[in-house]
Amino acid sequence: MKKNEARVKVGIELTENMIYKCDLGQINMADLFIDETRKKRTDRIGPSPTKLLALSVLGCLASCFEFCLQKKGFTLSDLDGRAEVTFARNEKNLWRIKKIDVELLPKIDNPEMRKRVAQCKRLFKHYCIITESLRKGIEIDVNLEY
Amino acid sequence: MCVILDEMKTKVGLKLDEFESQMIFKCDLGDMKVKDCYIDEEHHKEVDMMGPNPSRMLALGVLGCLSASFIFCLKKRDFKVDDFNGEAEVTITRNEKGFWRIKKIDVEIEPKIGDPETLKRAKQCLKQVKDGFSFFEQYCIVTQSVRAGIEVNVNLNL
Repeated sequence: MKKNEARVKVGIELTENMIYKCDLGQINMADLFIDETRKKRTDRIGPSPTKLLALSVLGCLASCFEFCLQKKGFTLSDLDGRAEVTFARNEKNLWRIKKIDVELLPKIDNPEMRKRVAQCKRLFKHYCIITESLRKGIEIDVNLEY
Repeated sequence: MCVILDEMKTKVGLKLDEFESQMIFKCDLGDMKVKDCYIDEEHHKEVDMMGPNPSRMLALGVLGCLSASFIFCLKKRDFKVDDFNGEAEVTITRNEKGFWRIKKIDVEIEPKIGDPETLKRAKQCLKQVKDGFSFFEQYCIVTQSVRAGIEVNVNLNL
């Protein structure tokens, strides 16, 4: 593999009608399923592909924000995040993801950390591999509340 | 109440895991029947990871969506596959400013189909439409939405 290139691999296997078991190699976790069958949320045994995409954006932004704080030795005691995906029909009447609204709500414990958060607010998004790769096709609005 | 018929929304959340202070997040998937789901950006070795990292989650989103679209295309004519596997490989490279970005996702879909009538329908699902994508691909919301920013190559082996 080239020095400036990294690769990751995942797999799936059909278990029943549009429910897939994820193959995440040696990762130490309970079975993860992708469920595109059940309509009622309470019946679903796994996220839909859209929810996975939203989690990927949210997780990436949250990690980059934390990483920015850690670079100066700060550690968050708490952080909540939310992502809302909006779909709209395109000119061919097919559903597409129009935008993802992200909210990050870190708990800031002291004034020094608050200063660093203000610096990170300008920087952290550029380091998020996922969000910056998707922006050409999907509008992504990030709101950091602190 | 105002109902917009041409718009839908879906929501997810996460929370910093209190027992693991560094870059491990617990997913909030509402009231779904999902065992604990974590996003792990802390560990680099798969054996140490408690959950997928964001790149793996994105790959699963693309792969799951394409697979569901193909199965849905068969189901529209009441056909089923005998077996089904899929793989997605994400390639990440540095851009001109030195930032890591996702360059491409290579998807391999391997359905097992024995019945000739089902195979006939599967070939219809693979037919190219005007924009150069297969018939089933255009119904995959996730893949078609990310394609403006990320190259997604789909190989479905019948």
